[in-house]
Amino acid sequence: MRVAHLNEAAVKLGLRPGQGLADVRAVHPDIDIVPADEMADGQFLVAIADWCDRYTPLVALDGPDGLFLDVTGCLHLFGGEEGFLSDLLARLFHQGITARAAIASTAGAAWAASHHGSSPLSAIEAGAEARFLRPFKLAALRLDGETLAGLSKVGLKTIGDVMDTARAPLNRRFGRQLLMRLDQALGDLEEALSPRLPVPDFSAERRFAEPIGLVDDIERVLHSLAHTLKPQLEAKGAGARALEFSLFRVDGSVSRLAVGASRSLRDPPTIVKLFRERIKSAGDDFDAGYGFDLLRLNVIAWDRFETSQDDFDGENRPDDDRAVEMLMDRITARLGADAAPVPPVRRFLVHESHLPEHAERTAAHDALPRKKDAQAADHVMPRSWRPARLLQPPELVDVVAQVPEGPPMRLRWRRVLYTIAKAEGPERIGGEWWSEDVSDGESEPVTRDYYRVEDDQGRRFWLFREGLYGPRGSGNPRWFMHGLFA
Amino acid sequence: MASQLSVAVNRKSVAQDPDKTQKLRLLRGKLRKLTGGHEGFDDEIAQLEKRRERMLDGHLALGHAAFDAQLQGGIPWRGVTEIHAAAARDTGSVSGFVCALFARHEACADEGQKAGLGPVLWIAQNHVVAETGRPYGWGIKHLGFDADRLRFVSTARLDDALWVCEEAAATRALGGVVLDLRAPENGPDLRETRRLHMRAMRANVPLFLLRQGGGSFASVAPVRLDVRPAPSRPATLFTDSSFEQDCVGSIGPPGFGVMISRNKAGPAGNSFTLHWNSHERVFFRATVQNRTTGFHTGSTAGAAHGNSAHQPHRIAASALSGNGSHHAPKTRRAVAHSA
Repeated sequence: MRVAHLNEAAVKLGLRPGQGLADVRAVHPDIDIVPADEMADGQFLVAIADWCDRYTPLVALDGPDGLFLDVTGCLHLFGGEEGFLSDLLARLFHQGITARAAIASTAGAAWAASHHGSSPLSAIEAGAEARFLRPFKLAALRLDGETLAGLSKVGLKTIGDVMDTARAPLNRRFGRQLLMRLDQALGDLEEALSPRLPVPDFSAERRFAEPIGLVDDIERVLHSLAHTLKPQLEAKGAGARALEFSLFRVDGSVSRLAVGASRSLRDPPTIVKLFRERIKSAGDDFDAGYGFDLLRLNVIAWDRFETSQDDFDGENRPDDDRAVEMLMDRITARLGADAAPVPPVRRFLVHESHLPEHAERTAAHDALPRKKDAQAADHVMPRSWRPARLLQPPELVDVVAQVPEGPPMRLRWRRVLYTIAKAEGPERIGGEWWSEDVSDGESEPVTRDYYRVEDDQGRRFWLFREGLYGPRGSGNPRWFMHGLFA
Repeated sequence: MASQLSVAVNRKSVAQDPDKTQKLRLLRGKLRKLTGGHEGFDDEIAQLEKRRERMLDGHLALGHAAFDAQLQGGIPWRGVTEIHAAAARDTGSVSGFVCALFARHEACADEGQKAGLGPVLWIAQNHVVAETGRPYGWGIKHLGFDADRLRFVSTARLDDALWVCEEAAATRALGGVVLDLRAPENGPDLRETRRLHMRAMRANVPLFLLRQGGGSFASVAPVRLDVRPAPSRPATLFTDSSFEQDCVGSIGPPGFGVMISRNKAGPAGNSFTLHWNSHERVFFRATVQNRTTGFHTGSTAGAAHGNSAHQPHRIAASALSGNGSHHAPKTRRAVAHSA
């Protein structure tokens, strides 16, 4: 076992990462050791990245312990470069995070300064990268270990050394990576950062000097944010189809609530209504803690806004379709969290299959039937009766029936005995041998014989026998209850 | 053009609010002047009025005269109606009964109104679905109710189900709401049913409260029906011909034993046995066999004939011996098996 990371105090004791754990224990028996948890570290970094959204939407993860923030055009909001860096570090410090930050015109230069610079906070002016980076070790160029070892072998130690050497031999000997990294650091080559989250087309936010925590206050702010978004959306003739409300808590945690809409919308009260259900359903997860100091409303997806004339009777009552859609959206917003990944409001659409449980698929309430299935509807349509309620999965039952293929005579379902008075069948439904997902897990699809039976009380059930009786008692078919008829 | 617009005026609001009716009449007068006595305009107005009357009436006649008379015209088509099943195993019957009610309503609505029938929201709890299954679209279609209108919500918690139900009850554009609960003692109590009822009355939405298990529970629903399964009628063969006969031993139109256990409009405690004809979409009395007229559909004797060859079935075989050229009526589809 080896040391992965050290805190400041341990570094002062002279320990370094990579040392054997036994050695460390021998030297400092009272040292505190915590097993490394890369997963938790990753989650923590993502949480910090979430929090960094307060500065810019363009946040990219860098390795296990770094973040890139593209702050182009955001700095004036935080009092310029110095103001931004000190605000960032101060806030992180209050959360108990020790961090180093650097700001530069290129990602490469900023990385070098933050990882290898002398001060924990540095700002490199545009155009001064070459001068600034000269004394840095080559490790500051984000090169792989092999290249670094090769460079040190030929006596190149600093970035300045590489800059002074002819490029062609370097390229031949060390490959494209070295020059690419150098050019990226100096700004001669563009470097693309890949942000974690897409940048929303429409966004509105509000910051508070004093954090807020009451749901009513949050709703009021949400309303005004939606109001701010409205002219932006109107200018583009757009309406929101999916919205995200980000709440930045003072202590650094960020909650994101998302809602979807069946129809593009931009009306602030409607947006608030949708989020109200979402906030309610979040329940205990929605913890205001010490309050929120930044609220942001993003439009994640948008569509052309459909305008329609209101009703004739002079009132601005939304038409029927819109009322139903709004109801469905609100239900989705409220139940969405615990019903995932199944859509909370479902409709049943035809699916091209003869197996009863596959002949119908559940889709979101606003889904339309696929063309293929709509065409198949006619020939998939069962010609015999289907039950009003389908049990999922079918339940194993004890049945007394004539061998080999007589109808059931007695039935024991959920420990109750039923005497069958009338039976119809069998309706044979073969297994779908051509379908991959059905044969999955089973050696071969089994034929089912369905019987519609009625007991002496008038209850009508749908039973099937899976498999067939073989000659002389061989074969062991099982009986299942699959549905309840009207 | 103008006459078409006038039809788009919302029926329900007109049906409920006398002020609006007045307003609308004035508007129509103006429109008539504007269009200069456009032909067909008055016809459409007359149709609108007729439809309005039907909406105001607000009862769904099931087609069984004695039953409808007990409820002063049928099942109230707005507000809460309770439907009880004795046990979980009778849920199929109760679900089918409710679907048949919606099918009956569809059948009663005239052509113009049909397009305006809103979706029906079926609200259930997850454990109810796990125990008694989910509504099955194909089966519902077979009962005559257009399953495309069905929207299904299933929630983990009762509170959520009640919340959805309350919201839905206030949405006037819905064609109906079904709240599918199991143990009645945990369901909505007197106050909650009252709230649901008021909302549904105001929004003109029928709300069916399905409950399992007997007993009496406080509720403001004006009508409570105890539905239990009843033996089905045999299917009819060779309808409308001199060979017409019952197909002995077959399972035809499903039967429902319905007891009106609460009735604000009349006497309670009477039991009826209703049978559902899913093609004509009407309930009928078992004693007077319902003879449907003139429907010959794709489910022909020939199709059944082919099947009977490899699926020996005494009913299908007996039905077809003798006269294979006869078209089988739709009610007989139950015995025409297709693989």
